[in-house]
Amino acid sequence: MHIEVRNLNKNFGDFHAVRDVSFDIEKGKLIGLLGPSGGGKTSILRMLAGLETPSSGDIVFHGKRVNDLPPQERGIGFVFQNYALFKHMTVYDNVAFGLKVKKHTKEQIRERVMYLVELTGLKGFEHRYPHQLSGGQRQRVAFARALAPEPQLLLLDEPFAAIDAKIRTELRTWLKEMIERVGITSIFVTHDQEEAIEVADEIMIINKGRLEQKGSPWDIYKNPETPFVASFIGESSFIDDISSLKGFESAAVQPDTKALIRPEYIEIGKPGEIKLASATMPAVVKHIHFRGSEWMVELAVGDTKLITYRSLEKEVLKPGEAVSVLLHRAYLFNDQDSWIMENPLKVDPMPIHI
Amino acid sequence: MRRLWITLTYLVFAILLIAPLVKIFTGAWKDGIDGFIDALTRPQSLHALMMTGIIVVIVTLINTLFGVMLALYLVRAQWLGPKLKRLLNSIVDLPFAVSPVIGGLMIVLILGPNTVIGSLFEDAGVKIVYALPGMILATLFVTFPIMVREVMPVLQEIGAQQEEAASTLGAYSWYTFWKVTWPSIRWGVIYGVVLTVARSLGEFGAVLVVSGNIMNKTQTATTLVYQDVENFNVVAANGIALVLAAFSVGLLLLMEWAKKRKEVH
Repeated sequence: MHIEVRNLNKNFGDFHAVRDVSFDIEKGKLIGLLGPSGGGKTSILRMLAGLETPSSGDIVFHGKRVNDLPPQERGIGFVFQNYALFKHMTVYDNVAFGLKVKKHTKEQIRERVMYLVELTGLKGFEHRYPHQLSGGQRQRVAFARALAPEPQLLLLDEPFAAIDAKIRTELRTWLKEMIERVGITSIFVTHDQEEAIEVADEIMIINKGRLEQKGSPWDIYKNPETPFVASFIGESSFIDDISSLKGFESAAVQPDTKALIRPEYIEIGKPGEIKLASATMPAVVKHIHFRGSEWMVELAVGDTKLITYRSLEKEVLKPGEAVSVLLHRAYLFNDQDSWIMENPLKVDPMPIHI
Repeated sequence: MRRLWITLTYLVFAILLIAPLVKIFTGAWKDGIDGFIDALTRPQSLHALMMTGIIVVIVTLINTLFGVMLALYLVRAQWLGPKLKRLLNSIVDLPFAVSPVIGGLMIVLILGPNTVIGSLFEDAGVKIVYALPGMILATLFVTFPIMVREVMPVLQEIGAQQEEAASTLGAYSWYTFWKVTWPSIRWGVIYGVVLTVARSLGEFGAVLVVSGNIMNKTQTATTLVYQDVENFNVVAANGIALVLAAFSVGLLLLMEWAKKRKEVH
């Protein structure tokens, strides 16, 4: 289903939860609404579902304005954060609910429910009650129940929040595959950037009720359009005085220009390890933290703090050790503008004349 | 010291709860089975028990219906502002805070034969105060909070999400209520029904004020017991009290059972 949202606003009393949000979603896409908690993501989702009425703005499904349609008429499936399974019904009855409402025949219901039960890997659990299932199984039931009436749009509110970390990754992959197989347009809400990047075709970053940026995960990572997106996606070091870093002495063309530097923009090595020695600057290792698959290294360049990662394969650094640092690029911004700057020394090393 | 406290606790329990029950029981059988049967088969006894029965049935029906509806609106309705909701919520408890006698008096003052509304009804041929409708109203007033207070916490606990899920699956409110909400609240409702029956069975003050306690007309079982005691007809008073007590014990057992089921679901 093609979805269009125009100038959507939502107020809860004095609180402006959603501010002037507009976007388009193509049929069949899997979209992640990403942002910090309390940013208005769930409100947007609930308005799409018809569970909340917009204060102003239009929601258009398939070219038809649906603002005044109740949730019953919108043809959507909704998976709640805590699944909201009917606790006095078995798995079978939960999945069959939407079909019974639509007055399908017993045979049709049975066929569809069994198909979905099999699809979601719940075969053999049809007669269990929700409290007899694990978190992951409950989520599958919620998913099957939402899909049963063949909705045109699937909305998922923090679908993985209530599941423990280990199963979460597994379920993530499963859900992505499942949605691809069913081919349904889907929107899910999450505050976990890793989750959004891994699962979504496209991400919409929502902050303080505003849509900050919409694009593919790679696009958003590579070309953040606002300082918020730059700082929210990936972990960055915030630099007040960019001119103190080598290669960026003239970066602050305008006053108040600040910088964000991602860990992977930084290369560190023991003196002499980096080939492009002329572009490096000296730094001191402050702390090192073991992060499972790599070391996180905290550096100090003069007064400036930087964070980067170092492979376990390389020689282990010690706090207090002197190292060389090469800064590949920086994300710069001021009140009017934001841009990415490559390190000029790296691109154009000092030519050597013989 | 500890032993003393334990003994004292049991003593208070026995004096307050067990002794009266035993006394009612032995008092009712003082003149043998015939005295007990005579006390119950007097025309005024039968009439009083019938009145009590009618009041209990009607009050329980009305309270169940409107109590559940009010609980639903107070918990779920979004068109009520939070301030108005809080106000309504505290007004619901008013009958618990006000003495039943005062409740009865308010009904007499509003609907009595000398008031504007009362005389209007009287002209239309409907007597309210000193008649059955007034007694039902008085009992309704006293028992109204019970159902609301039993159902509201259950509704709050289950939250609105299951109902919202039902609505996204295409179910409208009536279907959602019976298939989703009702199974969750029904044990709370049954518990409320039992409490309402017990309370309206034993209501005395409000009914006494409103009914005028006219024998064979507006007398209920409790007000008959009162009158029998006044007339030193102790055996008869004990007999009717025993019937009421037996009902209450039965209700208590039912209540325990309902409570257990409520916790399970």
